[in-house]
Amino acid sequence: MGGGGGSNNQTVSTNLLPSYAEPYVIAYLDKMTTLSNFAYTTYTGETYAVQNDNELDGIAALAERGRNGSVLISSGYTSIQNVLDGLRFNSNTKIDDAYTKQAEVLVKEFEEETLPALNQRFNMLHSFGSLSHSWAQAKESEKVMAKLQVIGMDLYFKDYIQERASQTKMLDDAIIYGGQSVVDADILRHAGELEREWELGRLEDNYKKWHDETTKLIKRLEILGNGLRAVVGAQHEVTEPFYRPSPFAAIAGLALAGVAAYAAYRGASSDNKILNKSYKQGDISTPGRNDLQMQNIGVNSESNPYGNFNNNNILV
Amino acid sequence: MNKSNSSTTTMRNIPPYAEEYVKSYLDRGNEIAFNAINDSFFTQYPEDTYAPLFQNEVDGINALAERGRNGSGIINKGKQVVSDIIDGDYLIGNKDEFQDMLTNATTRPSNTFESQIRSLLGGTLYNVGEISNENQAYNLTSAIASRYNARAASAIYKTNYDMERINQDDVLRQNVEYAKEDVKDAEWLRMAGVYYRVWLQGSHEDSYRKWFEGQNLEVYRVEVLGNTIRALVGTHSKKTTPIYRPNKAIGVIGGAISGGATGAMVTGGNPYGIAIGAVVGGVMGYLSS
Repeated sequence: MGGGGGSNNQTVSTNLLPSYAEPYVIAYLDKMTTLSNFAYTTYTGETYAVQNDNELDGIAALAERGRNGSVLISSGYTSIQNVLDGLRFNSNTKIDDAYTKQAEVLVKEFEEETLPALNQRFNMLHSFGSLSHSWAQAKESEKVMAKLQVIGMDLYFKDYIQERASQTKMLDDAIIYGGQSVVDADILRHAGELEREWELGRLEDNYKKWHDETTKLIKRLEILGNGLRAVVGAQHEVTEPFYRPSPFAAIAGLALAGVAAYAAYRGASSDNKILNKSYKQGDISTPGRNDLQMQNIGVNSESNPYGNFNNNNILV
Repeated sequence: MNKSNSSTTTMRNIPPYAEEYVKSYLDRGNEIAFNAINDSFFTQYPEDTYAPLFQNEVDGINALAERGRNGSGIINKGKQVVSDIIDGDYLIGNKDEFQDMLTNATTRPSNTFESQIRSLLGGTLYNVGEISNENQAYNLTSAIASRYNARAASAIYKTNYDMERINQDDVLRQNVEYAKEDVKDAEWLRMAGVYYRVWLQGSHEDSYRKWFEGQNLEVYRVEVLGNTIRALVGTHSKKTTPIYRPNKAIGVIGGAISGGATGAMVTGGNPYGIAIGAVVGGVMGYLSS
């Protein structure tokens, strides 16, 4: 502790807040005390918005789409799948009819024009039923067969080529349609995510309300606490001890002062003895005490305009 | 340390007229922290704080995982077609659909020829004459249909081969795209796992926060009082510091000088007096340092 008793301390007060502000500070603290007793009643209103019908219906529609997919895309998917599966090959019912109609023309022409003309010609030649007649019929019928085969190739093979081209073309589309299951799955997941986000917000809101309610005591207390923090540092009061030198320093100082005083006195006595001795031996007259005093302080008595002062004046 | 060699400074930073408010503040902090009447304000939150996965989200994640694990049906078919083309399975024309087409393309003309053309050949009743009992024309055309069928089939096989060779080259670009599907499937399967893990991670963190809150309830409560005390930290302080003191050598020298001077004055400049004074002063200076 500080050296010595209370008498050795000094207290310095500095009011950083002017004295005329003191009533305001007290009013401030009073009001903060009052507020801290009554503030923060429980909030009874809604703090979290419910989902409206549009949002709910939208989420439900998203879920529906994600769960069941799109009708259009399902149709396209099936169509591509059929093509890739080869179900479209040889399935064109119009081809058979087209063949029949085109073959019918050839048959009718052969039956009604080619064959009667050939028979008539060989009849005129009296060769009807001959081998040459048979050869001629065979050659004409072969021409019809050749035409029928062309029709068959043209209709059936062409259809096959078209379906094969479609199959390879659909390979690109299959990738696009194959990705739709991912799109649907993600849409469905997203619908659930939207539901969960809202629910999470609701739970968090409930927690915030609960937290708000359970911490109101502390918040009230801290109203007063903040009031006090505003006052901290408003006054700066410092108590500190005087500086005290060490005992020896004090003793030495006193000793030097005492010795100096003694030496001054002792020195003066010695000088008088010396001077008295020289005067006893010398030719000059003995000076007065005022002259001696002047010599001690380095002043010539002869030049001293006050040299005639009496002893009493000098010793005073 | 000699008491006289230290200095203690006391500082007060709050006005005296505010002290009653400070006491009230501390009292109330103490009341909240320790009075059982306030126990209800320091309980663990009893409700859920983390939303569960909804069925739509679960089904979506499962669908994504299913897709990732098993791939797409239509893409799997596409892969098969691409593979068959590149492997040359279409070149030789042994696929069912090709054989069916070939049958139609040959059988229909054959049937027409046999049933509607060839049946017309031979002698007729239009003319009177000596005709052979044999239908030579019919016999002569017995192989025509099969011959033309064979020629047609040959042409079809050849054309098909040429066409499939072109397909074989063209489909190489698509083959790369289909090869990427495995990567996509793997990534979707992984993402399905990530979606679930992210939710589960949140659930674990929520559980931890609840547990941590429960563990800290008492500390949290006591810290109400702690905070009131912290608010006042710095309003009162004491500091003790040593006063500066010269070292012993300086003390000895200073003492010797003082002693010597004193000796000189007392003895009127006698050297012995000066020496004795210096020694005594030096010793005292040392002792007092």
